[in-house]
Amino acid sequence: MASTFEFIDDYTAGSDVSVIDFSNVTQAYEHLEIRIAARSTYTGGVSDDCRISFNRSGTLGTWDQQMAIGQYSTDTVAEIFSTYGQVWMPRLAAAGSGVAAGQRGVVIIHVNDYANTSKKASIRWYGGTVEAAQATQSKYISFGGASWSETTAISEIRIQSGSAGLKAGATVAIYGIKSS
Amino acid sequence: MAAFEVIDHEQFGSDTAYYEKTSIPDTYQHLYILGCSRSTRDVYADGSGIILNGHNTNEDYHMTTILVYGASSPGAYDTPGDTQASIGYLMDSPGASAESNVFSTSHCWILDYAATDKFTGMIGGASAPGYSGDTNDYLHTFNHGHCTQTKTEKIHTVRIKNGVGNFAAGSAWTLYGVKAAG
Repeated sequence: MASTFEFIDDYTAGSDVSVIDFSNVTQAYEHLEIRIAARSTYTGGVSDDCRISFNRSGTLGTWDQQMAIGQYSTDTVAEIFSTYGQVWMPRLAAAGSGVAAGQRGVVIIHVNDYANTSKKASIRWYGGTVEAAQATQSKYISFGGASWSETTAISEIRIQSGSAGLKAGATVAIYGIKSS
Repeated sequence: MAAFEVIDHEQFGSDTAYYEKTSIPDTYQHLYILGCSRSTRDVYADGSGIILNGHNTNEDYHMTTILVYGASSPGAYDTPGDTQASIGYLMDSPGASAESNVFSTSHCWILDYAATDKFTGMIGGASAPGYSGDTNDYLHTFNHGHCTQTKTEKIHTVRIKNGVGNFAAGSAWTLYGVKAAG
């Protein structure tokens, strides 16, 4: 039987970059899985949001999202409405003082039925960064989901950090999951 | 070599009472389900429960779930060991009162499903939006949970049904078999 979980594309930053973009994403699968291992260039703190957006050459739309957060020894929930066409996801390691140079944040995202133009895109994610030497925002995990206002098939994907760029070595990989 | 294989996929062309796959082969290590669903229930959300091998009486399922909705406490809570459950709730669907065209993103692992020496464990969850363009509406639910079916049977049938409504047209479910060896 043919493989149903297949690699589509990946990118590893050779130097610091502002964003990582994928275009012409194939519509040949039922679902997408996106895996991120990255560190932000943000120097003002020990972690920084990871963000995703779709089809930036078209309508950015709005996002409604819901998440549960574990941060150091506290837990919280958040409901976020974004008019910027971006989804706030788990925090990546950042470049603030005291964060180990090798520290990275990881995020895994599912986008179900992403090519269906009768459905508004819906995503679900989990991930975070847990850095041993720091507290508070360098120990941060979350899981949640978001709904996009657009029914457009997803052909472009952008991954970026919230407050700066992405450090060299940041990797993003996209997998396709078939249904037949 | 393929580790994930499609066992079944169905997208409903009209409102349908439930998704079901029978005669599931026992040749995989695990089962994995991905769903993109919506309910006809005339509210904002409807729990999408799972029934294994037709067992649907009280105490057949035990579960603990983190359910998140809204912007603040008590938006997150868990439901400790529900011994009265006749169905396993791990997933959700937006209801008919939700914005048109929004569907949930659900998943569920059924681990070591062919074993006959252990209860069947499931882990999964869902993001079920109410609106894509509103804030603090308390209509977007996210849940993540674990469920145990208190049977030691090989799993041959999976049924997924909403608590109240049918699955709305366009709802889709895919069942995968996941291998442990080549």
